[in-house]
Amino acid sequence: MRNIHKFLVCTLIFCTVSCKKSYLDEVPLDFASTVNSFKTAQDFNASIYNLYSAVRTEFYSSDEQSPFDYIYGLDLVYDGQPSGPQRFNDYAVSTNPSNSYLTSHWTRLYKIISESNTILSRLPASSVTGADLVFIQANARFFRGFAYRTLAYLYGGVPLVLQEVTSPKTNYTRATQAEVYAQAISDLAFASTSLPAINTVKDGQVSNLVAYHFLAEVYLAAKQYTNAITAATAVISNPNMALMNSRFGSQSTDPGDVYWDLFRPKNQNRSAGNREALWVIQFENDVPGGSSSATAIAGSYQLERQCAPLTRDVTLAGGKKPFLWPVSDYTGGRGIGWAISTKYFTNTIWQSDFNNDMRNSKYNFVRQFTYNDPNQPAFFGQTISTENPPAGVTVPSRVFYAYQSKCTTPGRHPSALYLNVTTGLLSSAAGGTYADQYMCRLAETYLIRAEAYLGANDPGNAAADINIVRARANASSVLPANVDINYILDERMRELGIEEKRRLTLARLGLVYDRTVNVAHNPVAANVKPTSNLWPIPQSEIESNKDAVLTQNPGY
Amino acid sequence: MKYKPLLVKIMRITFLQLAIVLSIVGSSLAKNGKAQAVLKTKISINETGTELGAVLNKLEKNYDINFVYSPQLIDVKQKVNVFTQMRPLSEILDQVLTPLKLTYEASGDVIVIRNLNSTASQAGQINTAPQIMVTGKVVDEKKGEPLPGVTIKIKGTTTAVSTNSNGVFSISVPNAESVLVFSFIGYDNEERVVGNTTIINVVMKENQHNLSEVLVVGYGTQKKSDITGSVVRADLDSFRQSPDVNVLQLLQGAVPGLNIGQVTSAGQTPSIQVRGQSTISGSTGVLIVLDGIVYAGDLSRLNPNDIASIDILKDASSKAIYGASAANGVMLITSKKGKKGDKPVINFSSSYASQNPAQVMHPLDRNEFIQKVKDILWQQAYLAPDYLTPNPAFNVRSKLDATQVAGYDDGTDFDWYGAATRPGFIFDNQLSVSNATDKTNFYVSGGYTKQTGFIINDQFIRKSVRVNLETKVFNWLSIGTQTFATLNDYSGASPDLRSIQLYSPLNTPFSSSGAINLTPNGSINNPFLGTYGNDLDHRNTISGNFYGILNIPGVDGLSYRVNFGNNYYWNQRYTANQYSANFTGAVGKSNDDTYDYSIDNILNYNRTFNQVHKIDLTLVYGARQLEFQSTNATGTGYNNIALGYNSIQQGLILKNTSNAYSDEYNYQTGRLNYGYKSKYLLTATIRRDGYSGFAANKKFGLFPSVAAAWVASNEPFFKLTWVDDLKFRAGYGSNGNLTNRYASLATVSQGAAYVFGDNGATLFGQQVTSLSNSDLSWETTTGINVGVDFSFLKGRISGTIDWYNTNTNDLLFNVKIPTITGFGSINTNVGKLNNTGTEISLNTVNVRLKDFQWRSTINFASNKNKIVALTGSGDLVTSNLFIGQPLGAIYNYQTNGMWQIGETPIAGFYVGGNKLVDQNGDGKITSDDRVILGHTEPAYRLSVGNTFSYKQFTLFAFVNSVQGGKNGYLGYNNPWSDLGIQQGDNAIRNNWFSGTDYWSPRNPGATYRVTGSVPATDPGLYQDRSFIRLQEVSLSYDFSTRLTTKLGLKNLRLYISGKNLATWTKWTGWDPESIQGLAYGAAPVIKAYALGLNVTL
Repeated sequence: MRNIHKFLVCTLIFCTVSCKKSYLDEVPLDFASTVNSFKTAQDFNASIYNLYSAVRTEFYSSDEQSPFDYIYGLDLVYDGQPSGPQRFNDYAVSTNPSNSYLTSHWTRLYKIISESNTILSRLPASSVTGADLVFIQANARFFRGFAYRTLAYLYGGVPLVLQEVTSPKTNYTRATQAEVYAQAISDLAFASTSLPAINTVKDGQVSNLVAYHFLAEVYLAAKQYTNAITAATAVISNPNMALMNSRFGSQSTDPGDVYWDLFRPKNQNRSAGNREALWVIQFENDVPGGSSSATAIAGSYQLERQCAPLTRDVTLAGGKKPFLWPVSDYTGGRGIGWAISTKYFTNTIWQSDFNNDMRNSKYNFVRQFTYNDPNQPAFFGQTISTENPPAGVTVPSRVFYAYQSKCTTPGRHPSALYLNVTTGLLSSAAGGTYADQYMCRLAETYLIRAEAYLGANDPGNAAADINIVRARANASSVLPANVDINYILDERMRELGIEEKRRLTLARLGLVYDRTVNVAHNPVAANVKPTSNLWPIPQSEIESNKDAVLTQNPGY
Repeated sequence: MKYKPLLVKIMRITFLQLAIVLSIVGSSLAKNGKAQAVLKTKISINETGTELGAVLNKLEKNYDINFVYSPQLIDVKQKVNVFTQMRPLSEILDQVLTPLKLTYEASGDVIVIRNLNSTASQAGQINTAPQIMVTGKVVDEKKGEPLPGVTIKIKGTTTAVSTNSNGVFSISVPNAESVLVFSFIGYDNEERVVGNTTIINVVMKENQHNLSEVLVVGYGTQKKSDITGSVVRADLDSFRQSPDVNVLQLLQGAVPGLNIGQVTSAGQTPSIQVRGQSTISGSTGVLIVLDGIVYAGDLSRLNPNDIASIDILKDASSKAIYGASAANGVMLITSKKGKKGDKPVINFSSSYASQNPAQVMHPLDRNEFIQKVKDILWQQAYLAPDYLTPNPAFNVRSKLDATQVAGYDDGTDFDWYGAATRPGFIFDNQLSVSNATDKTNFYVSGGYTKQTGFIINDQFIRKSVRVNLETKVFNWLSIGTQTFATLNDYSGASPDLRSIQLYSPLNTPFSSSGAINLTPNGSINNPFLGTYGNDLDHRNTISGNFYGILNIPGVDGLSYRVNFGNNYYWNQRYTANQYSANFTGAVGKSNDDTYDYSIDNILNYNRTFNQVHKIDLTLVYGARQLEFQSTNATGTGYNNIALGYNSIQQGLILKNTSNAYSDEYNYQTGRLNYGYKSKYLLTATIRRDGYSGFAANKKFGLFPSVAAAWVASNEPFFKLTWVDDLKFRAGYGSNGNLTNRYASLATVSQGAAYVFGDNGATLFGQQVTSLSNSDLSWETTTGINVGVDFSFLKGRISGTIDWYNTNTNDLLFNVKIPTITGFGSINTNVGKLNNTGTEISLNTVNVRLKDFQWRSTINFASNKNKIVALTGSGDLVTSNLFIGQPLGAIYNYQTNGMWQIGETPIAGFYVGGNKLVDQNGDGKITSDDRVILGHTEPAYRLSVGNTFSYKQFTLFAFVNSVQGGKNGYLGYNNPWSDLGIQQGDNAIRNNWFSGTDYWSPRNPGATYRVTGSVPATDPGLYQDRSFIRLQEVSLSYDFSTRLTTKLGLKNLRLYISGKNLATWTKWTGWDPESIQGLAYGAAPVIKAYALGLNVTL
């Protein structure tokens, strides 16, 4: 019995050795949780900064391919290296619903919506009040409306989610396109009355005018032309806005013109004197959050890489290759000739004003190339033209075609990219477009209003708006009788070109097939059908939404 | 019944071996006594007036001699004088014993002392006085050490004695016909007829089946004979001669149900898995317990030479002691300790091994590369209609990448792969000293291992030291420690293997002037750039487990043990390269460390009552915490990189990051073992586990188990004499699999987001990156295991058969959800998974002659897993989970040959590309045309090891095999899986492997499509990974004792060995086991030849 007592005492001692209850509480050490991240205005502003970053990623910097899904396979450019599922050389391949290439757009746009919803759902319980509350709400609704507008153009009717999702949901159904437009209009209308004025926001921040601009555009899509005119007019008539009519900015003393100045480094923001810019997507080289780097091409907006030709491979009849490449001059930096301009883009649309339209000047639409390899003195300094190419060189071809200089920054690449400052030779990490980018600017607002007037059967006012834009470019006026939707789309090509998210415009108008096949005769894009106007709903979304049916778009 | 043919095959093997065994039974021979060399031992002694007993003791102590005499018959108190210098023992004995009328007789190192007249008188009294005094010494066969406690029984009587601490016995037998039976646990019984000798020395052989082996079972040990679950001790010794640097490599194929993966780089730790995959996306890590303490480090941090044993807990009942962490199996590693001996054992071993690829693969050379360009451009390079005639107008030069034209013109054929590789080696040196006395045992070791891989700069150096020490402070208190430090060095940056394999033989890394080409083909940086600059990669460990054992006074069998285990891992990763960051130079310094401690309080009560009821009760209360932190600083843009990572501040752009996490565990365990007369055994275990990573609503889990065994061979009614042991086992229990830390929390990531305005400040953003799940729970694996352990024909055939069936519920899975939610997936508990399998382990002694032995080990394991249920309704297609199918189901498009010239491919497909089967016949290839093509799991694993010993030679050969069966063990093998680099220009510019069977008009029946264009759907190809590999061969020679004694050594062994000598497989590419096919960036599995030496002092 004594032994048993000892045993019991030992067991007792043993069992009372214990840890504190809080020992197992889980405390994250290097990340935050939703529980403590949505309290103050500062927290919500952090979420909004993230939304800016998300928009920049989706439309500009995610990778070398997907931002350009907005321009490939249409009337503007075609694939210089048809081989893969990207770049829309074959719609049967590129728009296969199982391919993940297009899924990323859907996912990123819905992430913008989801983050906006989180802000909106968590605001009421937070400590944020007054002007801060209105500012945060207006921003969140702007980004949500902007994302829904984009989804509706690309996919048609999509599921509408307006609250934060806190538990898994797998039974979404599609709303109609009209319902999605209505939601975008509601959000953008709220933002247009609640966002701050353009002269009070920081460079790159959205203002009420940005909301009005997109509101006008969605009204167009919803065929509410009068509302569109009103919203566009709110932008155009604002005293802080004006088209730039004289030279300005960082390279205003270099040979060029005012249209060229619009796209030079550091010239996009209002603080640079630019009164035309509405929403400028910010790039800052080698700064955290700047999304541009001189040490790697990834993260930068790779428009130069896509749109400038691969002059390296220009081979003359004798086998000589007279271009040094890649060089920071008008040969196009480190372009690789993937986005070859269609003949429609380089020639057809300029016919009436080929020599006087500033937008077709040698500074802006590069057709003349100067041999730049100092090791080949027999060629060095000679100039050749896409309009009269030397023997052995095909135009357009991947190595030689006319392109818009707004994709590059001749002589102004970040200094770390130069391998040789004298020759301008760049390293293989070049290929970005090292300047801020317009998501929208006033010239486009005029063209939106022109489209609205056209829709409202007022070609006179439509022509008047178009002519304001043309006048700045020194182009001849258009007669009201000649204004139709194709004219406006051509004018958008001339004014905006590769700056525009062209697919959104054509999809909004239902003209992807017509413009690509019948108007511009895109020489590469195969298997384009009238149903190609909308992208397919991603197969993975249909499959993971297993408790309800997400109907696929017709033709897929 | 799928496995029936296989079972038949296995049984056939068994019968064959049985036949061999039967034909040799009875060949065991008794060894004759050694020559009386002991009497020639040179002795020095100087004693005056000393008692005889004291003199004999002194001789015993100083000269490995054992005297046997009867104190009743011989008066050891008589005083003697003896003085001699370096004279034979016989002289001294004559000098001392003759005056006392004593005589002696020697056998081995045993000397029997008798009265001078007794031998004669006994001899004369054989028939009348039934007493013959027999003495002798019993030693162990392997180590030659004396065996104390051996029972010696006169056959047919109850008379028995046992050996003393020197292994010496003496027994009186009635007559010369008497038979002595020598028995000792763990050893085969030996029988000797007394005959006319009075000295019988016996060498005892260890049982092959070895049921007395003591296995580690978690918070304690158990004799194998008492175990009720499926616990296996790995046979490390057979593989010790293998050129391996990681202990897991010693286990590859050696334990049924323990699956060890392949390695392809220096110092790499292979993957481990026990009994198939029981989780989808929960942790698949096997719980590793080192000397009783959970070990979170990488196993390359352990010196294999310090490891004494590895025990694996496989079934639910034996794993239950580790509760929520045990579902994937438990590996218990025990380090060495000192063994009792008359003097310290000093062991030195050294080996050198070569390292070359087991399979030689080479990228295309110049001519093949140029042909490849033509084949990609076949429509231009050849003439219609059949495209077999070269097109004279086609100029391949004009199609080459611009950077490759010069190389084309001047005949360049640069061997990138050759320049990036060289034969490697392993150089291994080990030194250890160990010993044990009654109070203290110790093991001290040091090791140095250097391995250079086949890829340049692929290097691994391990320096390790260990001290294991245990001492008895008082009779009731022992304290001890197991401590070690390991410094692993992986420094050195290898060239980028993927780029090496991609580079064309028409490009060169250096210009003609010898300067390095930064980007020889204009798009991929020179893969050798990474080898410039400095690269430091240190992974260091110190570990100390400190323990005390208190034998509670007054309560027999009650002890309390406290373990305080500490592991500290710290890693340093420093790099500096002038070419990084677009040639502006980049440096980085990353430091991280992990500290964990465990405190276990273990109360044990172990007692046998009335020699019938055996009770072993263990209670554990413990806590464990693990803390990780890292700091990372990088810089880019260096005008002068000479100071490298020691002067990061010289960079233009500097970045810092830091990370941290912590885990806490708190647990209680109880285990009761009850044995009745060693016939009926019962084990009941329960564990309560708390873990910080469990969701707020689920902090603690309870994991019970019970198991029982029946030792049939111990039943009195069991009469089969050819059966040595037969035990049936059955167990049932549940284990858990932990959730990942923080998996239940909604996380918000924060980081630099945006900059407003030119030269503006960075603004930080936040984004919700995961959904929370406050009900997220551990997975519970519940299962049954039945098994039988057997030993027949005195251990000639022994083995184990196990069958198990487990169900994992609440499977942890990151379920894909529509990204409409803003999230791609959520961590949740989704369903039920079943695993069933059979494991057979068979050991046979096929031949046992005096000089020649042949032993075999056969291991077989099969496992089949199947998803039984999933949350909600139906399959989770996007997550690749299908009810009724294995986890590794392959759901994809079925290919059916190629689109050939003359055929019109459907939209989105091309001639020279795969034809996909339109399963639903709707004329289109859509996602509905996917089907289950097979699965990735193997059908079974089989290994056969054979050991042949002839005199001092030992040959070991081990063949390992993994077989897929029908549509099983498939692996993705697609040379074009890296889409971006094998399309368009890149396909022309980049290289691939010679021997890739790609389509061209000349090769219409190819395996792989033509590159250049990518079809709308490109499913790739799955291949059977089944293989048979001659994994180990070693031949060792132990020098004779005569020679080693002369050299003053205990043992001297020389060996040669080979690893991965041959592989038979249908897989194309590097290696089926490492699942490296024709894709880029893969490194080969290594074939090695080793030469080694092992010396024991």
